[in-house]
Amino acid sequence: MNVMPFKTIIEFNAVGYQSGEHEILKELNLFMSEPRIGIVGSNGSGKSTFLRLINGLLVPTTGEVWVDGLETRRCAKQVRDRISFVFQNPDNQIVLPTVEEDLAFGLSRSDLSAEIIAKRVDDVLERLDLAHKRHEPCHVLSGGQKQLLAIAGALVRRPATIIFDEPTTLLDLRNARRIADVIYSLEQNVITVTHDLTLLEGFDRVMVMNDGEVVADDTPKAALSYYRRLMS
Amino acid sequence: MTASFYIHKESWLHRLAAGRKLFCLAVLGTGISFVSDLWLLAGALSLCVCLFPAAQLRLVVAYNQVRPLFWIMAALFVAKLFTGPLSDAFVVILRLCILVLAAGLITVTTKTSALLTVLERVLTPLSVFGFSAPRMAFALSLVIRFIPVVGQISQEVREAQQARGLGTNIFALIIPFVLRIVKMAEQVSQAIDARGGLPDAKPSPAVMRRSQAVRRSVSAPMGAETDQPH
Repeated sequence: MNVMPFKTIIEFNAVGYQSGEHEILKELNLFMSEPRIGIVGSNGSGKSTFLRLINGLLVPTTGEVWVDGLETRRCAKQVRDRISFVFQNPDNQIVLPTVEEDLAFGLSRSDLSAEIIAKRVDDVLERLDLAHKRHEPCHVLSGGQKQLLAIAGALVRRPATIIFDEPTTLLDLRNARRIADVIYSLEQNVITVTHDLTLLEGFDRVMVMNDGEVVADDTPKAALSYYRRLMS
Repeated sequence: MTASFYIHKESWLHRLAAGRKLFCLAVLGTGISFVSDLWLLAGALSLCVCLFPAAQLRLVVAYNQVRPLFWIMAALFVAKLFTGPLSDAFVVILRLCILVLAAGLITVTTKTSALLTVLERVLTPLSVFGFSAPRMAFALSLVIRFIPVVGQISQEVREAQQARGLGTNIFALIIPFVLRIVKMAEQVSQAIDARGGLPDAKPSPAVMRRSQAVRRSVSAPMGAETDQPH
């Protein structure tokens, strides 16, 4: 499957995010280019806000987020073409009634021909073993299948990076492992927030967030060890 | 609630263009409003029922189309009995059944996207008044998609409040339900943005030019593929 064959470079320059009086993120300065980046942290530590800032769903209150030279405040659409997002609850991400229609939705604004869109949908359905579900209504899929469909919806756009916001939280152990296998098999760069620490063991870099700050930024072994101590 | 959704089969009715099906429905709907002969209406109803097996669908699918309307039809039947002869009451019920079955047959044999494409085409002239046909069609598809999700949320809230002994407290039911719907709506809106935005929300030509320039400068090694990422 063709994907953007270049590395995504993400920069946070003095990024802060405030919601009303509540300071959610405090002046973050980061440079991210590793293929697999994991983020852990307690509830309310700012992880989901951090992810949404990367692909321009939220814009920082202070500072700037840059993705491959594109500033998310000014070029959100182009940034989102490069970075897809998989939400925690797939039900909120699936917007059309059947599997096939939902996958095609992600390409409906592109200039691709109907044949290429159909080919891409076919490819991604085959790849994620959802081909037999292509005509099914989305609401009858199991939780694991819905999450696979959400990932398929991200993959069909052929982004350079995919962001996952707690992709296994709502799933049973078998489906969680299946989603983890899919994440590991991706050619794309991956940034994932998760509470499933085993998922991050093979990652290149793990950041620990606490109270709106990155308090550890290291290899998975070191960062997860720090996180376990922090949470104990 | 889920009976009206598309059921995939390989029948001639499934292959028939959505526009033609909707045209036939319009003709049928107009036609039966002029027919009062019980035998003719019964014949039309039989034809509608027979079209379900012809579309490789089980008869229970036809039954599921009219089942939710039983009580309404019963009330209508009784009301008509007070205002006219028995035959008039049967005529009204037969017409209603024919329309519901025909409309149901179209929805179970036609993909939502195909129906919305027709709808979009029909609504396009309204663009002179500022209406966006693609957005209206997309809004409708969202409604169809989220009916089961909203039903699920409603059931979860009801069960949670019943477990707390508040199953009959209207505020205990409505407030969490509304909060969850609002939260979901916010996330759905973010998801639509993340997946490329609304169907006709094309960026301005200036933004398109800048985007293409950025893409060219960054993806130069890719070459000129037609099947490239957008």
